[in-house]
Amino acid sequence: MLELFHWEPVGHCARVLICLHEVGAEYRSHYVDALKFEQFSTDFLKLNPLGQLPVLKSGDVAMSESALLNEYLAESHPESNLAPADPVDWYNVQVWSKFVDYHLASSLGTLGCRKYLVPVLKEHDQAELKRKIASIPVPERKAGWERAAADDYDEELVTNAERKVKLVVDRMEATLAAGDWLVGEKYSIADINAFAMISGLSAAAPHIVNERDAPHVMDWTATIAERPAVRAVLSSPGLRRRRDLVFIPGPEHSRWG
Amino acid sequence: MLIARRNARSATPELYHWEPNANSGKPIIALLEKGVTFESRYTDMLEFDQHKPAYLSINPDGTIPTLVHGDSVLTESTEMGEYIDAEFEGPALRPESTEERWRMRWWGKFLDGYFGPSLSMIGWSIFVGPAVRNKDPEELKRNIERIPLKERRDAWTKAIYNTFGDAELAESRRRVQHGIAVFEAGLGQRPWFAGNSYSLADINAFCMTYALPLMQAEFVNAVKTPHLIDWLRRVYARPAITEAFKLGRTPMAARAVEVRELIGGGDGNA
Repeated sequence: MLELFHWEPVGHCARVLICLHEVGAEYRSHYVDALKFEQFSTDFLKLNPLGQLPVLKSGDVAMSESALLNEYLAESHPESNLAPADPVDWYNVQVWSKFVDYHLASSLGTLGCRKYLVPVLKEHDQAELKRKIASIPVPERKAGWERAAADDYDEELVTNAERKVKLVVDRMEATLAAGDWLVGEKYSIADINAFAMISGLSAAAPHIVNERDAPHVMDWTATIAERPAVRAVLSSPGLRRRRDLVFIPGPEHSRWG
Repeated sequence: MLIARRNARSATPELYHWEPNANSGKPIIALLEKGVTFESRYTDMLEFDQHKPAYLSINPDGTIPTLVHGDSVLTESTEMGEYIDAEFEGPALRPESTEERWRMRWWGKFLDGYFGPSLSMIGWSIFVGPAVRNKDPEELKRNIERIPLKERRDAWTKAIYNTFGDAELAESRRRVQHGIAVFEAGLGQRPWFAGNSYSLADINAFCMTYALPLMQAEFVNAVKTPHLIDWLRRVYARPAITEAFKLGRTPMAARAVEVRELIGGGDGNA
């Protein structure tokens, strides 16, 4: 049986949880408490040395990178029709996922943490928090947590994140004004991957992701939220353990090119 | 950028590319491995061909490479590989096993998101920047202003005015070192990047590592990275690789010959 190591059903973890439910795969859920830094434990780093959630385990093979896990799930369950067979459509699915990852995932990390993680971390014992962050063995992850603990989000960083969100949302708005889904005439993993980020950003960046500026995106979000698989993930007490909405630092913004 | 539906399925693909290197190298090698006949459209990055109106009318992002096939225009090099494999006859470049496919794509992401940008930053600071800096300053300024994507504009500005920071270059060198260790570990476990067969992951990795035994000789050699060197020998021995380097016009492609001599065994006839 598949095993999923995940945190709260937001962002990357939401993506893969939704896809598992969409394809109807049986899986064992392992909740990893990211605010207790369990993703940096020795055991977890054996599953993913990069210290990122979620991880999907099939037998002895531990797989990571949420968009790629959804490609794996969709291809392993062709009957789910979440991975188009046509090479042009498949290219578009992969390119949408990449575009969303490149611009939205890093920006949700910045904007979501600034708004929701900073106040949560302020309630922690600061000396202990500092010690825990200092011991994060992955430099790229450590930098994101240091920034959140210090509330160190300068204007340039925030403006750049907002610019990227707007770039994707505008392109999505144009695409969804012309059709129901991001690729072709069917719901696909491109929609799932974007939905998980957009629903987070509608909370983290409501001045960009809203009914007035992106009506078609918001309609599309509401339609997806009503799907049984999505409702099952977002409302299950076993998957969502926190009452508040919190984000953790995501992939870093690109350094070059 | 996304692509339109195509009508002409039988059209000969046209590939706009620069050197058989990094992003341009990926589709060149994939097409050659499949045995696909294609029109090569060499696009001189050092003359800013990709920011000229003729090119922007095909790919408004002004990035290289671009694959034009019938009505379709593809601009993302890694995903282009999957399209080429699915669309054309010839040997499969993606594994059958879904787990190996996952691993193939994981390497793609690692190369494109982590290793590649760091190697590229170093390459641009020592090769691309110096190669264009002596041009007319006004022309360079105009060229920068024409670049459509902010990220590319920032990169070119740094390369032309040589404003790389010491800290970011040091961080890129650290990442390249780390990447080399990850490659060596992966190839110690499996003969090819994805698993048991040569795939798009090997093509992608080759395009970014083929010159390392020369450029990073201290760290990439038969003693320190035996698996990486052995893998490079096996990839260099493929006829498609020899063909790909014939499309190069700068000293970059000539490095391939030197590397082959250095590591041995990969002359295609061995």
